[in-house]
Amino acid sequence: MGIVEDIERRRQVDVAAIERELTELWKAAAHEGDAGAAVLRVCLLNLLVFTTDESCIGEVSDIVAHITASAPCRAIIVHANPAGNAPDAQAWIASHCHLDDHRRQVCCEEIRVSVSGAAIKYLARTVAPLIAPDLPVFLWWRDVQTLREKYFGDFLPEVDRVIVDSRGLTHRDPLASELAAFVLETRRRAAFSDLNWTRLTRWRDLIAGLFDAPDLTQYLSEITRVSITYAKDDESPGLPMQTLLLAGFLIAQLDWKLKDAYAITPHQAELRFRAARRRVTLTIEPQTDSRLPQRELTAVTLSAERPAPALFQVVCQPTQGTDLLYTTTVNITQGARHHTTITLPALTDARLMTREVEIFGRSKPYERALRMALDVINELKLDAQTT
Amino acid sequence: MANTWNPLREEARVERTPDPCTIVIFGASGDLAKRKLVPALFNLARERWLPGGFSMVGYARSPLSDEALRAQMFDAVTEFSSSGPPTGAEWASFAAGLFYCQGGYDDPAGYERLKARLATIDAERGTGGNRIFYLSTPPSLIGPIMDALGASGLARSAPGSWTRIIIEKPIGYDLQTARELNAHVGRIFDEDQVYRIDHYRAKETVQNIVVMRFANGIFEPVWNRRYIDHVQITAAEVVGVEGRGGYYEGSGAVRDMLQNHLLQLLALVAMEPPTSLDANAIRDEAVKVARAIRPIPRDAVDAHAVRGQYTAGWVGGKIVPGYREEEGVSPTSTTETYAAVKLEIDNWRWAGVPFYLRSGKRMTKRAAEIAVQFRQVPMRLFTTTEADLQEPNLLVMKIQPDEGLTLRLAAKLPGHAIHLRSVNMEFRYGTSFGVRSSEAYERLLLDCMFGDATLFTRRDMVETGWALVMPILDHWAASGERNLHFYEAGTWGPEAADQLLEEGRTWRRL
Repeated sequence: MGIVEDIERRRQVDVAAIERELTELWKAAAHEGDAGAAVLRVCLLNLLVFTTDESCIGEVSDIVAHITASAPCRAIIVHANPAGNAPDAQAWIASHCHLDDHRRQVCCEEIRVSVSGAAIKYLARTVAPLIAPDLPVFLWWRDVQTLREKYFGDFLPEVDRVIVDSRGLTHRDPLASELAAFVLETRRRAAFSDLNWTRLTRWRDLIAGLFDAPDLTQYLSEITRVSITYAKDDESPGLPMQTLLLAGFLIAQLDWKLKDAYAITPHQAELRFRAARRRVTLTIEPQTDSRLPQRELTAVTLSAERPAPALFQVVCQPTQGTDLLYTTTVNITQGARHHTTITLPALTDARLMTREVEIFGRSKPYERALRMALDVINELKLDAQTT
Repeated sequence: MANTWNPLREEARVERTPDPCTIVIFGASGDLAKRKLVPALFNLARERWLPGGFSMVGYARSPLSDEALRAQMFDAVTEFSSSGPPTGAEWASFAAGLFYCQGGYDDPAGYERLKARLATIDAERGTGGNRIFYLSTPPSLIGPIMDALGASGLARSAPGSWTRIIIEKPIGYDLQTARELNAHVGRIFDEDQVYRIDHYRAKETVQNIVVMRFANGIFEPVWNRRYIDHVQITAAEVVGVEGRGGYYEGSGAVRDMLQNHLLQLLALVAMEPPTSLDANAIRDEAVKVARAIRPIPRDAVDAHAVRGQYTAGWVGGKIVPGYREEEGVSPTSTTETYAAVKLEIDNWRWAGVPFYLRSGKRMTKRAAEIAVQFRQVPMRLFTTTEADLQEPNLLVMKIQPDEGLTLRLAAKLPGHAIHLRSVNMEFRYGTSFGVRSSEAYERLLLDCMFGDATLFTRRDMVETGWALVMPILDHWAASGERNLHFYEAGTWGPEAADQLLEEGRTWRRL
């Protein structure tokens, strides 16, 4: 679907009169529609985006435009400049339009609010009246380091789901464990989601699919070795948060008890668990490959010795273009052997956010995985202190 | 169905996948397999819905190697897959599960080869003895194939596995042949193994009828004779018989559309709330309401049904031939290309509410919809001039081409005086949800793998549908040309159909 941002119609408006200005915007669109293609105004949800980085507002606006193609919404992009001297609030409105299956223009509204200085203290009060009523509210908070600020807390009563992103964080970053702890302690006040967890969705799907057949499900309680590899082409230390979330997911869902964890190198670790009647070893290690998304998974291998030696694997490989190739393999000694290959598009923020706004409520598997990831981080910290 | 819980599936995008299985397509070299079935299976694989080890065996008379079948199917998927052509790696992994078995449809040796092939696939690809037999063949072959499946033991499942059979329409030519076919199937398969396909039921909007009715509290209180004046169900096509004149001569609008698809729609609109979403709970209610439709006595057919046949006309900017001039059609044919019927349901909810059904070829435009016309308000407060003629509320469920819902309301025109106009509130799938809807065959194949028969037609519904239309078909067959109304191609059908509607009601202009 073609996406058209109505730049011409973007204009600065009085913050107190945004609703009235929006009405004027749609009236103008309707008049133009009389002469040409009709314009449909559709809204299924509210999407609030918060950032302190002014340079990324254009990128955010592009992402919003993509989201509206499959999830028409009222988008409110909030830029906060805490360093600004004078308390000030400014607003702009614009529309995002795309053509639907029948070549009609479907349009959604984007409101930008820029707040600086002491006005940030009243951010939620400035934004709350702009939320379209009776529709779900998603808040994409792009600055995880400000989550403990009061102005973030003020938003919680207004929103249904908070979306953060732990990409770029490793177990060595204090912010990683702070974020995990904050989400776990705040989860009863709002549903949280992490785009890094959403990036794992396809991996969780593919790994789960290896064990769907009734005679293969039993292998889940016989797993003894797990290997998680991630792409990395530099020497920066630390295990990416994404690998820890997947490890946490496996630990929680398969009911393993963490025995110990230690770093083999600054970017490689071994975790050991107790499970029913056996021990499980899980390694996280880098794979040098600059063609794959950095600090993201490249392969997951699970092995079992009983009832017959068996190997289950998901591998991600690059293609000539931007898509990624995922191959799943089941190899049971003297049993079934098959593999499946599918091509999936690279996970852009726009694609991830489109998926995020389809989900409501708390995710128990995410919260459990996060709890386990936090335990692993703490264990690795302990190991670092003792060695 | 897998009864072992896979804890890694919790909150996964795909909630579960079916048991590993093999689908055997009889008539694999036919059009349906190439245009619909294999592209649908490929899309399911691409969307990660298929189980690991999933396999397909094509069975047909012509000699063909596995490789040749794969090459044919690659071309088919490349041309017809709604999610785009496969990449090399995707195709290699999908094609590894495609096999071919050559044999006659009544040749025991062929079925023995099929049996051996399936056993090998079970061992090598872990498909566990689970099978679907898809009969994508002419109706005349259904009996011989079923007999051969029965005789070879393929119709029975090994312990812990399942066997299902999918049958395409038409299920019989009339009530008698439908009963015979169902009885034939019943001698070899249990009813819960049989999946009779009605691809109409798998359309997104058709499924949404049940959701709209039973997930929205505002509709149920007014969904009855007190508030609804009548219901119109329309399936109009612009195309003619498209080179299938020979087939259509033995079919016609009633057999092709009305007795199955339109009656299914009627049942979904009119049925009582099911006690659960279990397949049989929904199908029980559908059959119950279908059985409550008042039978049309043969001597009253002309008052309740109108048939038509298109003549040459102007469609889509060009002249098209009349039905009798189409290839494979008799120049004296009386086959109806248009049928309209008025049905009444004898139950407490619907007594006195007519349901008008119509379907035709070569009509003004392609459209399928259900229009629920509410009663007029009891007193017309606002009628001041002719221009203010107030139209009653109307709820339209659009099935194609523009899937969605429309609710017509009355509103005041701006100004000092009170003048009314009708306005539409619209919900369109394509606009609100910008995602690709599953193709009907994808949904149906997946449901069959899951063992969910909700969208498939049960034997009793098939026979109820036939029983309803038989007086009409018998009467028309005995009437020659007497009540056959001709309509020009590109119009809304014969004017005689207007007489089915009581005064004050008209067919909707779509």
